Amino acid sequence: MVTSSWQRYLVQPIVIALLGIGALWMIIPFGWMALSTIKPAGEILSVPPTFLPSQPTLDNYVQAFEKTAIQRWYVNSAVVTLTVTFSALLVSSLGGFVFAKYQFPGRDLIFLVILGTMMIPFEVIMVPLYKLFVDLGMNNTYAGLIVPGLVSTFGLFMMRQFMHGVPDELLDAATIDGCSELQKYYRIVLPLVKPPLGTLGIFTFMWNWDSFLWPLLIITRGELTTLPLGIAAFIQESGTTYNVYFAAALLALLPVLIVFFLGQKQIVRGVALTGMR
Amino acid sequence: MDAATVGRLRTWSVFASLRTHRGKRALFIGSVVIPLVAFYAVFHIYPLVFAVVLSFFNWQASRKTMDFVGTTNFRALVDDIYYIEALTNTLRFAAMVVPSVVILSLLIALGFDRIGRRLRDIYSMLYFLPLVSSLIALSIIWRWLYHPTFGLINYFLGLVGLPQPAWLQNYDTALPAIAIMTVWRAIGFYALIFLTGLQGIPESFYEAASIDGAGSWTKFRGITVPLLTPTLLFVLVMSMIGSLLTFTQVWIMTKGGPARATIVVALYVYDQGIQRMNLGYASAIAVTLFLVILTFTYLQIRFIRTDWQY
Repeated sequence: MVTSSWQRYLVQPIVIALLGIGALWMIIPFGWMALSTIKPAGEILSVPPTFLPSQPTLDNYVQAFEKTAIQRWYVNSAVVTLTVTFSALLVSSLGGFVFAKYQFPGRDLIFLVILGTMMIPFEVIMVPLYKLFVDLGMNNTYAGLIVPGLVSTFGLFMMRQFMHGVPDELLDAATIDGCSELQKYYRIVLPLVKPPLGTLGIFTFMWNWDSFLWPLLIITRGELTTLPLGIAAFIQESGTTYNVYFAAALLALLPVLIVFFLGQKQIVRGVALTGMR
Repeated sequence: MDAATVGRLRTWSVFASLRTHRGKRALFIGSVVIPLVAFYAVFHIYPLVFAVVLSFFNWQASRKTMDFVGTTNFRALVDDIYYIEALTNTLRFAAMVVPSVVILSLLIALGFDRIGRRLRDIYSMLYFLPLVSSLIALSIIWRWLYHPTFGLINYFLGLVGLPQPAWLQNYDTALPAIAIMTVWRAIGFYALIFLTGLQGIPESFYEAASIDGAGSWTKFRGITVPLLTPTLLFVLVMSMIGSLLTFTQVWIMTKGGPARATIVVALYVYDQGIQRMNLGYASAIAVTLFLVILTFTYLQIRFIRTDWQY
């Protein structure tokens, strides 16, 4: 935008300050919680609330590990999330490649129907889906947690968009050189779509790490409790031990925060590239 | 040749054709597409069809029989005050969340558009933080922020001498409190979407308008708003659907209370379908929710012009 001088010296500082206040509101809750995890139990229940802990302690974390099976929840969440993410990346890239670069009868119709399923909210199909999994004996199993996430519609859609950008000449040349279809996928296409695949991987990880409603339906046995489920149950059972909740909640947040900071560029670019299509 | 030989030859020729280039290609396509189609048929299409069918049946999971009851479930909904409450709450929730999300995220995006690149990168990361964080953890944090005596929000309100409501424990403030948290979490994402839309508007349009003597407001109304309409539509539809389906934060923060003040439709579907095992009735509720979502999506697409060309 063409900036006149009054815009540069008056408007811009105001905009920066206002956005800064907003940004502060975005991080205050996190900061307050993070500081609360190292406050002694009594200090959390003090009026007025304190910001900096008077006597920092790791006791809340010790209690979180002692009072809950958080290690077990972590393992369960990790198994489910990593499997789902790997599968979604494989299926999305393979499927996106086939739907973008091959001709076969019914292709566009099939893709349209797949895309249409994005319009079906999970809340609408959860009861029959729950019934189906119970009938198949897949409630209270890892398979039950994993199977619905094996395919990501958003991922298929996103990867198909990017596959359109792979030049046909490259694929034709590979055919002439005697590459099989799978070799073309593996040797040519996959390296070209690595950046968007990375973005998709980060998103899929974060969404599934947080998955709550589906595990809540099909998991009733303690050993298979995932992190969100375990923490939610813990809150409901244990009344007012807020200090321990915070420690548990921060432990649950940690993996996504790490992934977020490592992959921050891809995330922002990913929204810019895919949010609007 | 007898029939068996012919059959064998046919089978052989099918295998032979798989060895050819075209055959291998077909095999590759088939082995990707067929499992995909099967997956969608079993885990998406079938449950949707089954949900619609179930809504016309009476089926308690405890009994093994399914009785066709026609539209009884739907007629029962009209008299079910809990359902009416849930539907009203959901619509009220959406009415609070959607406009706030649209206005705030648009303002943030307009701000982002005016500041330097480096600062924008830092800011957008901070605004994005709530979105990527686990909703469970955020709900726990906000439950505590809203605590009447020990919470940070009432502490700040007390400092400036404003009334300090009991937030999640008060019938009138519980739903708005969850709405505020939901808006807080979503605006960073939608701001980024709006920013992408803003940056897609060609610079030359603004320059031409400046030459014609247009002021900032005229340029905003005449160029930004119409060209941003597709983005606006996207944000409207997405945030509307999202708020109609809200479940997790309500479950953690209030579980529908106090006195059902925050019971929402998704929570009621869970309550009827999973906890009470009234599968037919729950499906009828779910189907009405789906219809509400489809209607809103349709209306928003229908009544906001998107035929701008540039």
